[in-house]
Amino acid sequence: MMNDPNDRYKKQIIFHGLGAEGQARLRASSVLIAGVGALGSMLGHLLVRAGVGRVRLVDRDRVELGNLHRQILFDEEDVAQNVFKAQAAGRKLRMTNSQVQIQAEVLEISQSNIDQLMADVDLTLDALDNIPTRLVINDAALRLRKPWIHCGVLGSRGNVALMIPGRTPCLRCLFPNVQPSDNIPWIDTIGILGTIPAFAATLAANEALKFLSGNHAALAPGMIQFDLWSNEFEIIPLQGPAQDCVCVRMTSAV
Amino acid sequence: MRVLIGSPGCEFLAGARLSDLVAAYEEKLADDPMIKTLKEKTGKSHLVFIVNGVVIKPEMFDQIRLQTGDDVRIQHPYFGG
Ligand SMILES: [Zn+2]
Repeated sequence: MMNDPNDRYKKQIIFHGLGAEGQARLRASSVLIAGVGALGSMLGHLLVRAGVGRVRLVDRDRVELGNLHRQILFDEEDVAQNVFKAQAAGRKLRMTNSQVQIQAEVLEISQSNIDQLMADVDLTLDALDNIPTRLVINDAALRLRKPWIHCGVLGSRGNVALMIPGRTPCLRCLFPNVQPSDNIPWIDTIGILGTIPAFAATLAANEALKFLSGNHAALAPGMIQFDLWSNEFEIIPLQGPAQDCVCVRMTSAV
Repeated sequence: MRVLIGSPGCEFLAGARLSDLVAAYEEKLADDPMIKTLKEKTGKSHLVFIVNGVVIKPEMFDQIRLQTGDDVRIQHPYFGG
């Protein structure tokens, strides 16, 4: 049974939106999961199980006890061993699906390494916990003309938005007044329920599956925003990039 | 008969500006624990106002007059992970 990949995926291949062709496209695709905390754990869990061919996990931190209520790939043994999140996640995901090529890298994402991390993947998933590194990804996506999915959470709320350079707004379009200096320890300050990143990452993984399998007509037509405490869910319709945003110049340059 | 599907919207006087809507919304959320904390820590709510799919910068709030049928969305910043 282990030798037939279609056995593993047969229930999702039956799903009308995917089929054998969509599954083959997933297998031929690759993603970068930037950050392996709560969002990144769930994204890895879902995309590796779904059969995305190559998954690169990047995170600089070690597993701590305070992570366990929401970071589903880690356990008490990881805390006791003081392991790096990327390594612990990589080990567990390899056991989950040995058919997926897992690349686990312990490093801090920065201007100096982001192009290399994003250049050879089809899609980047933002599972970060801060503004400055999200802007690093945003700007690299524009330089490289690479799609990415912004995913952010706080309290009981979250946002998910697919960003395609030149076609959709970029992060700077969506949050024109956010500066790296606005950064605060968001979750340490506001708090977070474990359900929220799980839900946001599920939405982001779902968009990733649509995108990677070629089901672009099924993509959410805007930014998904939700508050699970007040039972709110909406898709904010968005036109293209803001005409005065730096992204327009970056993506129109030859 | 009239059937409401989705949001019933919100009434504003003819000629109201986007800044009126922004002020009303900010007041409505004045006691929201997250918005309060964000204002304390960063000096601003970080709310983003979108009219008919276009993000509006704060310096434009006073120049935009609302029209019947305008679709105004309010985007909150969530930058944890
Ligand atoms: Zn932009």
